[in-house]
Amino acid sequence: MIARPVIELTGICAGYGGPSVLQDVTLGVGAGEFLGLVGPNGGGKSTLLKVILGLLMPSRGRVRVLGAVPLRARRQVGYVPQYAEFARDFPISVCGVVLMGRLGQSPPLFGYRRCDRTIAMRSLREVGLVDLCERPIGELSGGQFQRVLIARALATEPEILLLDEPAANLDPRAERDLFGLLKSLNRRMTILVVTHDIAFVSEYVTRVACLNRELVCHTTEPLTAETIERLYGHPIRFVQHEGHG
Amino acid sequence: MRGTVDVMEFLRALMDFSFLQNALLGGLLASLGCGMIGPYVVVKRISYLVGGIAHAVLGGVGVAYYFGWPPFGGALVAAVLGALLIGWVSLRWRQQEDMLIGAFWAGGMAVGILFISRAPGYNVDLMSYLFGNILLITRDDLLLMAGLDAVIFTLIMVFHRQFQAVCFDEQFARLRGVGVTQFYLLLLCMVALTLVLLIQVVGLILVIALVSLPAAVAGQWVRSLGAMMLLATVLGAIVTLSGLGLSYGPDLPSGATIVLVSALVYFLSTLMMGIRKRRVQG
Repeated sequence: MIARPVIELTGICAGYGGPSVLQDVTLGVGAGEFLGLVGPNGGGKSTLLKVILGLLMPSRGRVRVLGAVPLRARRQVGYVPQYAEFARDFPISVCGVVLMGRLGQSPPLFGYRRCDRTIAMRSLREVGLVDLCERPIGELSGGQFQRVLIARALATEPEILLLDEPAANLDPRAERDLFGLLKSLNRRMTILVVTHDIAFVSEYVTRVACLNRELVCHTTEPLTAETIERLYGHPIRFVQHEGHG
Repeated sequence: MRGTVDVMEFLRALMDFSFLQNALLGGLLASLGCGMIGPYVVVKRISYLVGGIAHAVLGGVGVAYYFGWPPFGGALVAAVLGALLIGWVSLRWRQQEDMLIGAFWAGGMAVGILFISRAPGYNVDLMSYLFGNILLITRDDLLLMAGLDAVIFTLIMVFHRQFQAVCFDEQFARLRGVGVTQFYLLLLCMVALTLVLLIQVVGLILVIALVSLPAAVAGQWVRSLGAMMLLATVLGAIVTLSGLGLSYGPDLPSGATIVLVSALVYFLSTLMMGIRKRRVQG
């Protein structure tokens, strides 16, 4: 049984105009859960995050986040996008990026308030990067920049944290550190992390959901070879077929 | 030696002629405008889009000529309309953005040429829109430029966090409740205003260079948007003034000279950056 659900997806179909990427996905995430969302590329993991964030309207189905429609709940949701998408030569300091997390909370005109800076510094301390506060982001390693993005999401003071492939391009040690950090954050917030590294996440998360257009399984049990076969075996041929057509 | 003589001659002329004083002041005001807006164009990588808007401006100027309206007004309206349309499309259908800008680029130019060819009295003023003539700036133009600079400065002071967020990470800004569409379009309108400003100085053809080159040089040396704006303004002032000075003696086209100087500064800066990087690595 799931505790008080903070994310409820019921019968979600969604896509980008073409064939549905998500087909009839029903998923509930309880308060305090640490859910790992795994699945092959093109399986709709990022699409599911977009639906939860209200960036993409589902063509069918119902979404509730913290009991409200995604647009309304957005401010309570911290989002950590894939860091590979960023132009790292952007002239901004670590602190400048983290402060962006305060944008919704801070009054809209002129600069940030003192309390915004305090919160930004606290978030940086949590991810262990306080010393790099003034450093331009171009001089950070991939793992450090990933942490900056997490600090930015923490600065929004979220109840739910969504992360999209946070471990992509990290070496195993940085990946371990990252998931350690998430584990400790999980004490006070619900976490949903998208990843394709099935074997690794199962050590950390409380539950794994496997997504390949439809929800193949979600379970607290260790993943069986059969599930992985179902997830990556047959459906991949299906995806390739679509690509040719 | 020849150069020194020219510069002396220029300085002497500067004392005597009010049109040169206006040119100098105009150059400074334009530098301020492009210094403030250029860094956004560079970090958001929209210089192609800026080119599209700049060429759409010619369409507005042509239509204004044809109907006997003030060309500056035509330029302003066309720039803002072009900015809004291109911006809206680029937010909505990102894949088509490239082609649309190309269409604006060519279409704006064509409309301009067509209308001007049918306008009563095709005159040299058109050349000043194509290639710019800083020496023709009037006192009214200066006031207008100062006004536009003030508007841009105020908007940046008030909304710099939103502009920065929209440039850095549109999606995150949207999630934080920032009106990304509004701020992106506002930013493009400010770009459009700056273009109209700059067209007087270096002309349509060369405007992209003066918006992006000083800011690109600044981006190589400093690591914040604010510092980039400051440095780009100073660099812009240096290149416009030295371009003006260099072109005065031999009677070269001032716009082309200014852009050549800024391109030179850009190449030198890139070269120095490369040497520095190699030294750090070696």
